[in-house]
Amino acid sequence: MGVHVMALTLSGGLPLFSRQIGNSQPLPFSLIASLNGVHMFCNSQQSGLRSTCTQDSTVVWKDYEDSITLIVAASTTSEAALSELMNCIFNTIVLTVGLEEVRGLQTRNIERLKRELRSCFPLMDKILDAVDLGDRNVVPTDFMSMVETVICSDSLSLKNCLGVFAECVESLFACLMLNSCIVVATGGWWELMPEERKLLALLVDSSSTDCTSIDVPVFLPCKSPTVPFRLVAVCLISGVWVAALCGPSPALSAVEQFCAKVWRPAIDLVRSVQSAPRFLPQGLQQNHHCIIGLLLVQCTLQKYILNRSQSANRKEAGDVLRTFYHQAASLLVPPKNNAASSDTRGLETYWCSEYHKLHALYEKDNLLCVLYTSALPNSTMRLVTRQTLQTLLSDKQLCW
Amino acid sequence: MEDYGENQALLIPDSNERLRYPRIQNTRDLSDSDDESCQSDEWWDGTGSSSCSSCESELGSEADWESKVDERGELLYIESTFPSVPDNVPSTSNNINNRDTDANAATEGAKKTSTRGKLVRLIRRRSSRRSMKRKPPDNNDKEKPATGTSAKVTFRDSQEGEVRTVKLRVSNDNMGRRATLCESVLGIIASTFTDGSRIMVAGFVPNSEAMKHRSIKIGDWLRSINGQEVTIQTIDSCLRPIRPSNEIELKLQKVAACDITAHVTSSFTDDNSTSEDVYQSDLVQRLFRCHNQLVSSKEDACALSIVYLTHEGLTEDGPADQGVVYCWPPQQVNDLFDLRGAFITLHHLLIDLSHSPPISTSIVRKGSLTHIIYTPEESELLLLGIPHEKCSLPEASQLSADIVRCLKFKYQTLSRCFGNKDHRPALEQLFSSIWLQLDNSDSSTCSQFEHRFPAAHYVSLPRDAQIQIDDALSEFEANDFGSYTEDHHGSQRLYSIIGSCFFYKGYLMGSHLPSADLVDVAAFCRQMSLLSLTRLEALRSLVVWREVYPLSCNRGLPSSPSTTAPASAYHLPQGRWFMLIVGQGNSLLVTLLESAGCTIKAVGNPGPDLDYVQQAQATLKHLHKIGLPLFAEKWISNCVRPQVIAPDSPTKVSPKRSSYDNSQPSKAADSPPNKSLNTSNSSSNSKKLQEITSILKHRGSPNESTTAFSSGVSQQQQQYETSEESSVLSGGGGGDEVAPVVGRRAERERAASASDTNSQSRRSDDSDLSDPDSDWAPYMDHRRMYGSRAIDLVDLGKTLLSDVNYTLPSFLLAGMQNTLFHYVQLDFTEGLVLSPPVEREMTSSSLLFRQILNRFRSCALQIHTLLQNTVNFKRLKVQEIHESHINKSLVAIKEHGVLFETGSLETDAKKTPAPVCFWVVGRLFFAPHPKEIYVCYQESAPQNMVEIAFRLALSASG
Repeated sequence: MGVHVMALTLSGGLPLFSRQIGNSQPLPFSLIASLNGVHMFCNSQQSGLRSTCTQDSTVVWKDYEDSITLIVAASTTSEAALSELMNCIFNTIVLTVGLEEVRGLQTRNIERLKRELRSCFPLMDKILDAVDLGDRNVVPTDFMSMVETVICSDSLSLKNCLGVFAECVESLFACLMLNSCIVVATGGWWELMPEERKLLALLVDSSSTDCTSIDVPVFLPCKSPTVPFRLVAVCLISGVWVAALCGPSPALSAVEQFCAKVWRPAIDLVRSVQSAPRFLPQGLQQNHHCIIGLLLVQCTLQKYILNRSQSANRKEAGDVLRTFYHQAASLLVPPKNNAASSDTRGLETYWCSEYHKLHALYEKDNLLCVLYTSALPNSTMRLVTRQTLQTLLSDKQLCW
Repeated sequence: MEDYGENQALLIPDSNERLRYPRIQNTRDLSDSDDESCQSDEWWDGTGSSSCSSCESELGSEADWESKVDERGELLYIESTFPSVPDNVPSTSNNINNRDTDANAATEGAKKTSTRGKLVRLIRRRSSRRSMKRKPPDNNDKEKPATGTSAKVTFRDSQEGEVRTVKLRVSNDNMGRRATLCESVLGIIASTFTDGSRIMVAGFVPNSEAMKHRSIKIGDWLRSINGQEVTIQTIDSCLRPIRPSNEIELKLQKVAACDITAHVTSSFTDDNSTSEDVYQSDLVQRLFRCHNQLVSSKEDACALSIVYLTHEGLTEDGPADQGVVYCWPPQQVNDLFDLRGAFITLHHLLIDLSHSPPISTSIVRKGSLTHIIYTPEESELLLLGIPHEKCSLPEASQLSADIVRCLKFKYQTLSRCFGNKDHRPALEQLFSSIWLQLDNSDSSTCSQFEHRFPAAHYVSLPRDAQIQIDDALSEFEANDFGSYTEDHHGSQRLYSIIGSCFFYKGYLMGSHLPSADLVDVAAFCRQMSLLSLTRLEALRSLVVWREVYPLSCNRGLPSSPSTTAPASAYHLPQGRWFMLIVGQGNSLLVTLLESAGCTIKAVGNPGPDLDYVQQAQATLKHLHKIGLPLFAEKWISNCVRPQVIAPDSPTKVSPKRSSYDNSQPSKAADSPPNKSLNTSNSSSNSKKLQEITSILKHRGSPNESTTAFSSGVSQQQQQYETSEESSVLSGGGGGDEVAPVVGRRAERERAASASDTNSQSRRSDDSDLSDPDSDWAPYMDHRRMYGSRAIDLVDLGKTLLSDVNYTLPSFLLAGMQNTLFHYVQLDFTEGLVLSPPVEREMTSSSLLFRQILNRFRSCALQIHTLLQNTVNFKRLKVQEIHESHINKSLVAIKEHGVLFETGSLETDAKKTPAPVCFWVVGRLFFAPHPKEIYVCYQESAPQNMVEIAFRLALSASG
């Protein structure tokens, strides 16, 4: 049944929008109304309806800001993943229209809100793609709250260029992106909340289909939910964008001029980014033929790289790694808010499947998940993972 | 009038009786038995008596339980040990050491099956419909004019029992119109023995003279008043002339082997306040009383809620509780009651949405997260709400499934269970006891992983002990005790036995039940708290009887057309099924009986049949006699096969294995230290065995079948002996040589042959058998059998015990050190869970150990949930695979492991010990049938789960 997301006003139950992915029909309105009705009934009985599970699907209800109800129905049994999805969807709404608009829903014109929300549907569809359903139909493997990074050979020079560009547009927040993956970013960009970073990257990616520059107002869901910034993004070459959050000035045309000035000397570097291979680093691949793919996550910054060996089917490797990350590896990371509550902590975890083995190692905020061939013994697997992590962290070129 | 008397009788504290009971013994027993044997017997024939929640009345001795059978034929009788009575274990060991004692006890067991059984049946009053039919109601009888003669009075004159003469001052109480003369004048509630005329003292009028008189006991035969012989027909005419405050002389004869105390309680619901005659410990009372008061007083605390709804026949303008069939706790305090509409809607909606019905819903109620589990049954729906702090979601659905299984086992379907108002008190009792169990747990601190699965916790004893259990069970199941009482001789049997199983301290030790039924039985015992009760306390006696609906018989429902494939030639019999549980000490013997096919068709609500109960008790007793409980106790406390360790101090994770260079753990039992010990043992054993064999041969000769049997036995024995002499047996084999002899089948067959030949001479041999009454003949011979067999029984007990002490531990893990903290094997096909006994957790005070176990349990539950994907996927049919929404990356996982580290988060580096790294690994084995193994071990050598599984299976096979 894929994933269905429905948004309704909390007070009146008026539908705001409904999105879905997966090969299924849109839900009939009567069903949506009934799902909302149950939720309203429970609210009237001073009970908050949270979720309902069936054999292979889950429905989750959630209220935001006392004005919007989100209902998600998906063919996954992980309530946590759906809860994350809903937060993400709500953040998208805030990003587009601002928190004030959402809070004042009763008094404002709902039709206008509906119209405004329509503009973020491409972004929402991108988010829905990141839900881990394991159906292997979605081409790029994406993670809901983590932003992908690209490893390139000369990131230092690119960083310098980006720094100059940021100064020109008078912004602390700037980054260079390749298809929603961050190549390099300023320190300010990394200080944004992970979910904001992710949304901005997706926003640039989703609106860049048929234009060469973007200038849209955005509310930052965590840092600045009520005051909008300008997101200005300019396409350097196909697929490579430079983006910045800035104030009312400079104008877009000025930004485009700065771009040309700053990036023209470095155009060869940018071209090398475009063709950056997403394969394993050379050294690793030669040493360990057993590695099919790897996922390295920096847990605080919520950034990751997803690499695979040249021979492997990227789609499948990515999907397996993503499922492994959600189902097992992410449990090793201690939850941020209550770190003291747990008296034991996880260090490693592994899966043995019929077709392959997966191993994850959590060390100093880095989580490395590696996909191996199934013939590898468990003890060797642990050894190789540890070595791989050390190699990746110590590699100066990678600038992890 | 009778009711009046009964109600009054409730209020009488009967402490006298309790104090008296140890010296009340069969006169015959006193001649040759010592106190130990008495004590061992007291488990069942003690005289404590009383009222518990499900009883009506009771008449002492075996009738303790018999009189508590309620009108539906159900029985739940529990009698705890007195705190003063020495613990179960010492008394058992005494039995083992004292052969004479055993012989006597055995005799008494045999006797019990004869006279006492009969007697109890004689004095059984309202116990069951069957017995009601047998005799006319008392009241009518008493009103009848004295027409009968006393010709029958002398019929059982020869029965044992002292005759006492009692002087009694006649009371002048006016007890109302309905009281009989006997009650108002003598203060005695009269009943009759089975011959319908002899008067039995069935009870006392409260505060009457007779009650205070210590020589008048319930069950006594009132022979004469003032020298005039009386029967039930003549007593009124005899009493009528007697004036109040005169003194009269009663002549009473003691009939029962022991004192019988009646306590007549009124009915099931309102006897909470009655005096305690059957001693029940606090725990028992807490678990098995009605908790209405508890619920109402702690209504906020009781967050478990159950609602059973129907969604048929609802109208718009119905009453507020329309569609609610059952509701616990009452609707005013029931969280689910108000919300039920939402759940019904969801139940309908989600079938449209995802093509499968909802399993669970989580709501936030009063600030706390609550899980609601759905269990649909046709057009009806059971909702069970459990707060998250008691049970996480997967655990909640496991618990709900277990409860539903238990209810279906008891009541066939949920609709029958909740629809019938008669079941309400029992349900309330069940739910409140479940809540009590839950209330003590806390999901955040103590996960219940292995104890929540639909399976029985199996502890595998060594092979020879298993053989003993199997043998005892098989023999009981052979159901070949028609010859025990002449009533049944040659008649159609009442029930056939589907199977039985034996629990000790809540651990399954042996089972002959189909696995589906075993799971049901385990669920029943768990939810009724019987398992936890026997784990914590030794019981004097426990008898449970009720009609059940086993899953192996499709719960008694007509099988659906899909299941009756033409391939299955066997059709399940349309019959009725009953469950009998008897308990003694920490042991429980559960039996499923079937009334179908060749047996007499059960009519109405039959109560427990005395013979079956006694046979079950005798089986249990036999197991006690061979020292099995003591053995099991040691085995459980040792927990060496496979050995688990507690990480009390991480450095102490000891070089336990370093002393043996034997790298094959499964052969560890054959190691040298055992040999020298066993040689001495076995040589003495073989000597005794030869004796026994010769005895058996000699005695068996008159009867053809017995000869064949015993010669077969002797052959086997010789084999064993030779093997024993030629090669030193391993520790595990020490008890094997006795196995073929024992078994109660041997005695039984001999008893049967003896009663057939019925030779007078044999009887006269027995010096202590004074009267040549025919009733006794079979049992005397029987007794001799017990006596002779006591030799090998004692030896068996010793060998078993010495085995435990010298059993070498087996190891699951590879590597020099044993670092295994915990293991769990789940086998749902067999319905068995293998894991170390829980006792060590209770005794271990180590915080670290508890941390590790908790982490293991919560993590293992996650792993189990994950592996469940694979199991579900493999069960899918090809065309369903495309339709299913299952995550394709999850469908082939067979092993999942997580490495944890403890205590490293604390900042105080000085106090905290070095962090312990431990693995929690789960592995799924799909062939031949799904089986899951979870281990928790300290990180050392790399382990292979397949090897661990093999070792575990080897050690589990005994």
